[in-house]
Amino acid sequence: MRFYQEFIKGLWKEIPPFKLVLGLCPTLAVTAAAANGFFMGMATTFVLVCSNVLISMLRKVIPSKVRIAAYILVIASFVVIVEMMMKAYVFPFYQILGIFIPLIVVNCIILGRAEAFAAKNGVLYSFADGLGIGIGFTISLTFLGAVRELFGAGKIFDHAIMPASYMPFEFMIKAPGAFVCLGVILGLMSLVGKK
Amino acid sequence: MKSSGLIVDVGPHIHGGNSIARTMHNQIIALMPAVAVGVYMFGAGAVRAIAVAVAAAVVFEYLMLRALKKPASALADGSAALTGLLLVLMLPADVPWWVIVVGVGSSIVIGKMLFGGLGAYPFNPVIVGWVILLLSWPGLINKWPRPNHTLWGGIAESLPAQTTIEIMKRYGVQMSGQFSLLDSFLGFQPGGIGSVAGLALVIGGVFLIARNIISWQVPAGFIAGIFIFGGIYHAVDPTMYASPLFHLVSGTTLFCIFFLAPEHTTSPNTKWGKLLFGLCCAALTIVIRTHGTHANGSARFAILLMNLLVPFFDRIRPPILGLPKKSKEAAADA
Repeated sequence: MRFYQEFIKGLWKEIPPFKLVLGLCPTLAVTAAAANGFFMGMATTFVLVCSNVLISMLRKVIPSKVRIAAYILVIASFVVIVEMMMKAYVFPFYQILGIFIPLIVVNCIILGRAEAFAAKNGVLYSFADGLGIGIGFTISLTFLGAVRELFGAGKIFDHAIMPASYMPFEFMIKAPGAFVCLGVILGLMSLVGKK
Repeated sequence: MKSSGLIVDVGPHIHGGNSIARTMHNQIIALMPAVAVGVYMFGAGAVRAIAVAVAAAVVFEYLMLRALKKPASALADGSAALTGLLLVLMLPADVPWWVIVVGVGSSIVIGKMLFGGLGAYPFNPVIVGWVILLLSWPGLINKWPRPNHTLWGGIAESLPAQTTIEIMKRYGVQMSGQFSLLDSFLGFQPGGIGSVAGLALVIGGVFLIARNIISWQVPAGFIAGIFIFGGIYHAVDPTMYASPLFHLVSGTTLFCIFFLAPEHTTSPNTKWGKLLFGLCCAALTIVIRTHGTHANGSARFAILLMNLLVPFFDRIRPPILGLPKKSKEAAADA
């Protein structure tokens, strides 16, 4: 039961980046299209789950004085794996996401979950937590990407949705559009949560 | 606003009669000469655009007031209509109606209401809406139609498709020298419905200053800054840099000086703050226009950037009277 709770909280109650407002750098930078957001979220999920599990296993071994360095080391190893995998199998997306793949190392969500959850809980629960938060992050990024792609390019996952005469609202796929879009969704979510 | 419960004092007082509504209505009146010039030059197209903008502004404001559970009576102060009017005057007369609606919607919803409405927004909402349009459809809002009629005997066919500032940027100061500064000042230059009609805007601006709606410091600082900084460039190399008078009468500079920069919420409160604010806006305008890529919107981008610094200008305060010497210094440090 608790396993289920730790998993499900990442999907609404603490869904990043809307409830757990962390990891905004990739959120703002890569969500110009739904597919980019999806792959970024998947890469983050993989790193999050693996690092949560490994850090949870090592939580009694790592001295608390050097724990941040140790966590970063663990996270960085998995990020390198993701980077190589993406280079090998989904090279076009690797090229689009570019610098933001190595930057997963410094993504606050991953370090935050390691520090706040994996360092204090067992392996199974840490796995559930990582999976839930990761999938929540993927959903958020894909949704944000879809909204911005729909208005900014008239497409979702590269399929034309809007009629051909639609003139894209390009503001949405530019950087300021990301801020406005994120802010509006954040506001709407807390409005829904209030009731 | 009179029943807001703010009057807590004894003794007989005279109410100055000023209110938000009076301020806004006076600004709308001050825009009328520019509107008249626009309607005369562009005819039905301008009337249509202005009607769409004002109607959309009022509808968006009403919806946002309802959504934010604020009294809908705030609609009557005219600030929404003013926002719509200011925005549409900067757009070309033949712009599609949905561009106007999106622009006005961005101004009212994102620029104004989401930040807390009148008196709370950090950026001039009119410029926010315009920048969103510029980023989205630069081709649609930077394409200037030929006017149907021209004032003072100008020939419409002789007007270029680009603004005088773009011509200066692309082909150099010599090419921009073919336009008479007087023509530009009278409004005979490519541009939006009412934002380039210099004389009409000056009439409106002087009206606002005379009625004490806007203080003279921001426009004065702005104009002085254009002459100082434009003059420095011009003095260094007149063949490379246009004269300050050219900067003053070209494009939307005068519109920004009298209607966008002195906007009450987004300009400083004190005299020296206002003067400095105007000077800094002018300096940035000249720099963006000379070195930047968005030369057309230089004055508006300058105001947008300086809006961010308004809290710092507001730190220039009059000294607190009546304090002992020591605590005076403490107050100055605070």
